[in-house]
Amino acid sequence: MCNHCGCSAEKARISDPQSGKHTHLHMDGNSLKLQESLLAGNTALAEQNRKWLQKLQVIAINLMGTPGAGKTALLEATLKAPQFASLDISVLEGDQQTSNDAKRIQSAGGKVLQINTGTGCHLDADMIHSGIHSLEPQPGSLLFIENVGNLVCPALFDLGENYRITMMSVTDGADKPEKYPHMFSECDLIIINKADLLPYVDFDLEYAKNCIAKLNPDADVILMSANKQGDADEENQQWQQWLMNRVNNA
Amino acid sequence: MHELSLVKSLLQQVEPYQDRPIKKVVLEVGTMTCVDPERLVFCFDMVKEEAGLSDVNLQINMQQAIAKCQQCEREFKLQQLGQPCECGSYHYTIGTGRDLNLIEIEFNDV
Ligand SMILES: [Zn+2]
Repeated sequence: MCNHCGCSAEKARISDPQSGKHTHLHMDGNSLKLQESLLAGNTALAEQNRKWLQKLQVIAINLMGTPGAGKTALLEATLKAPQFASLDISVLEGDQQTSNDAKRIQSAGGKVLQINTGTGCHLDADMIHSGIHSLEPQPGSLLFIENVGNLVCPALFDLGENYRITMMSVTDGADKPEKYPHMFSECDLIIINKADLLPYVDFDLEYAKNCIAKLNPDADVILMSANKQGDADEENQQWQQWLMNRVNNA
Repeated sequence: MHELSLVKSLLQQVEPYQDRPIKKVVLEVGTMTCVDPERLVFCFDMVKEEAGLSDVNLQINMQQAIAKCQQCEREFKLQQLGQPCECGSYHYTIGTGRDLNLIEIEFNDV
């Protein structure tokens, strides 16, 4: 009997001498029984990224959200904020096409690399692996990975990040968490952006917060106006606090 | 569409076994993976001819998600995210229901 999986019908075994992982070939007539994860390749690479970043003492944050939620605006404001002046921040910018966002990050003073996914709708661990090679984040720095604007696909792919942020704005509609539960249930922080537009849009904040509390009761939720950062706005201070806590606890 | 990425991985995983004619490929898809089985089949149909798998039937077995409540420690079937435990708590860990596995390859008689 195999002492890894307890099977008794072992006919053959394929082992990886490096990792010690093994796959069984249970051939039963014309049928081959397997137990292989379709995401195994991505997961292994993500784990490699995580170890690499950990060795460099780099904190990686996967920033996901709707297109137009204000992800790039948040990064620009964060780069410009005097509170973060001491931090070394670099950004891997994911988009299907163009380098528009990368240019914005560069203008804001950030070290940035654009990753165009082409027809792909999410970043994967392999792209991040190449990205880190080219970007060379400095030891002890902070790495933001701005994912492709999309509330579905990025949720499935581990990139090797330490934290996940999901971002939406009050112009997106209050039922976004309810409509895209996976994205909102698998993150550490949810940012509801463009709070300054609340008086002008029909957005039921309590409803959205209520949905989030059911989907992800342990997540932090911050309401903010990313493009109005820099002033002593209380809401934006929450973001600064959240980020500093992560940096200081690393 | 992440289903297309999954199909690409599937093709890679099936490739080493293609020296024998394949009749059926069985996948196990957890109900909490945000993978749409119909879209998965659609993506597979799109590329199967090119991959030399035109006669393959893709079977998808859904795997029921089971969560464990952190409040009352009960295990329960999770039908959808955001559903409370019987005790009313939303604090639970999802055990099974997140798998995306290739579990079986069936060959034609030679
Ligand atoms: Zn309970």
